Amino acid sequence: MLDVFMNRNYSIILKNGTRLEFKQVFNQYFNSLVLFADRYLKEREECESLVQDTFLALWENRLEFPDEISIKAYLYTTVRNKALNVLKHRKVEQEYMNDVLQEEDSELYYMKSVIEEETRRLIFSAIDSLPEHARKVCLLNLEGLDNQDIANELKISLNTVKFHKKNAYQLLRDKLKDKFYLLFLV
Amino acid sequence: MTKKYIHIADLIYKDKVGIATEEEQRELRDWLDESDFNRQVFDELSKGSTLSRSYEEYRAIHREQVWNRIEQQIAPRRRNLSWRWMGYAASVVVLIVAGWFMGTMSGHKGKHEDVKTVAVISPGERKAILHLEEGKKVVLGGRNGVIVDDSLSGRIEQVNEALFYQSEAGMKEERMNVLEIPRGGEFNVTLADGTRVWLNAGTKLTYPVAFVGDERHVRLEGEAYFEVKRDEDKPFVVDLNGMKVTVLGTSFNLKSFKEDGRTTATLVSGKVEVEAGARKIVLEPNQQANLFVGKDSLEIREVDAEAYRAWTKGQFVFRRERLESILDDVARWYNVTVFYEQAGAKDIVFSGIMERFADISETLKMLEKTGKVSFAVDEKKIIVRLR
Repeated sequence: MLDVFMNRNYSIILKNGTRLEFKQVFNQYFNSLVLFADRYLKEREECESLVQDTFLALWENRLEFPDEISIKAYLYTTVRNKALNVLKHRKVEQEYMNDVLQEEDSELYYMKSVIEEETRRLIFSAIDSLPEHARKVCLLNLEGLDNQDIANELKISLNTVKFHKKNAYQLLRDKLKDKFYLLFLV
Repeated sequence: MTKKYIHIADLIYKDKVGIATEEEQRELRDWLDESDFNRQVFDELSKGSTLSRSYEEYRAIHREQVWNRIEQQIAPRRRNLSWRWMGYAASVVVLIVAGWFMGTMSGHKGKHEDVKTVAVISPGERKAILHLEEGKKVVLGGRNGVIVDDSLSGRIEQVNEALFYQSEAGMKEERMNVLEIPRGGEFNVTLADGTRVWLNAGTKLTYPVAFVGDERHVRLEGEAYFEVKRDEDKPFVVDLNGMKVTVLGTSFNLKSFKEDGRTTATLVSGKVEVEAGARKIVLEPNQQANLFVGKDSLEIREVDAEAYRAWTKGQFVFRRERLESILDDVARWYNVTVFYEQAGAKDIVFSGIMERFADISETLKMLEKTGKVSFAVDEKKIIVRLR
C-alpha cells in the first residue's frame, strides 16, 4: 500500500495554481532545447549537459513561475545565456571566433532560433503522437508533397495514403478533443 | 521578448496546420509585415524540405539517460519522502474521523457563523532574515542563490527554500550568524556540520558559520526541531532560556517562547542531556522535560514526541493542551493577536490535529465544534468567548 505514496512525482506548481509534471516538461522540451543550443555551440555533447543544467536550475526555481509561458521563456533564455557564456569562453581561446559570436549574440539570431525551434517542437510533438505510417504521411505532407508524391516516396498506393491521412486526422481529433484539429490532413 | 517569440511560434504552428482563428491569422500577418527578416524566418519554416531532416535529428536525441541523471539529483531521500507522505495520509484519515466525530457530537448546524473566511489572515510562509556577522541583513525566502562564498564564512547558500552552510577546512574563527524567523514564517537551515534545523514562527537561532571548538554551540529563542549530525568527539549544545541541552547525535524539539512561561525539550530519538540550574537529567525517546519560569524544578513526562514535531510536517497536533498554548502557536503562525473575553477560556483543554496551511477559519471551526468556545475575527484579531 505504501507504494501508492512512493510514486515519484515531481510537480512544478505555478503561481496561477496550475500543476505541471516536471518530467513532462522535460520530455516536451529537452530535444528541442538541445537543437536550440546546437545553433550556438555546434557540439552535441556539450549541448546536452548544458540543457541538463538548465532543467536542474528550473527545478530549483520551480516555485517562482507565474504561468506556463514563463517556464518556456525561462528555458530558452537560460539555454541561450549559458551557451553565450561558453562561446565567450571559447572566444578567449580562439580570437577568430569574434565574428561568429557577434552574430550569435544578436537578438535577431535569437529570435529566429527560438521561433524555428519552438514551431518545430509543436509540429513534432503533434506528429509524435501518431502511429508510424500516419506519421510519415504527415511529415511528407507538411513538406509540401501532394498525395501522389507521398505515394511514390513511400511506395504505397494512393488509397493507402488517403487512408493514413484520414486515420491520422481522426486520431489527433480524438486525442486532442476540441483543442485543435490538424486540418492540413484532409 | 522571449515570450513574444514563443507566441509567434504558436501562431505559425497554428497557421501551418490550419487551426488559427481569424484573429490569430491577422496577428501573424501584422507580424510578417513588420520586417523582411520576420518574413524570412517564416519562409524558412515553410520550406518543407528541411522539416523531415530536422525531425530525424530531433528523434535521434535520447533523453532518458539525461532524465535519470536529473532524477538522481532531485530525488528526496527515500526515508524523508515516505515520512512526509505517511504523515500526510495519516492526517487525512485523522481529520476525516475527527470531522465526523465532532460533527456527530455537536449536532448543531449553523451555529458556527461567527468564523468567516477573512482574507487578511493567511497561513505562514517560508521566510526568514539572516543576520551576518558584519551587520548585513539578508531576506530569505524569495530567490534561491549563493549569499556568501568566501574564506571567512565558507559558502552560505539558499537552495530549495532552505539555508545551507558549507565550511572550508582550516577555518579558525567562529563567525556568528543569526537566523530570525518572523511571525507568520518558517524556515530550514543545514548547519556547517550537517545538522538540520527546522525553525518555527517567531524564532531566533544563533550559530557559527563553522564549528571550530570542542563543542558545537548554538543558542535558541523560540521553537526549533533539530536533527543533529552525529559526532562523538564534538557534542552539540543548545542554550535556551535557562536550559542547556547536550547531545551527540539525535533528533528533538525545543520550545521556549517568553509568552509561554516555560521551556520544553521533547526527545524524538537518541539521547539528550538536559541541564537547568543545578539539575541535570537524561531524556529517553518520547520523554519531555519542562522548565517553568520562576520554578527551579525540571519536570519529566512521557509524551508522543511525534506530536511535538508535527509542525515541521505541516500540522498542528495537540494532545491535551490548554487553549492558550494552542492559540499562542496559531497566533504566531497566522500572525494574529488573541483576546480572551473570559480568562477562564485559556485553561480549557483540547486535543486534535489541524492543517497548518489551511485557512484560519478552518482551524477555529474545529475548536468551535467542541461547543466550549466561539471565536470572532476582526481584521487580525481573534476574540475568544466561552460558550
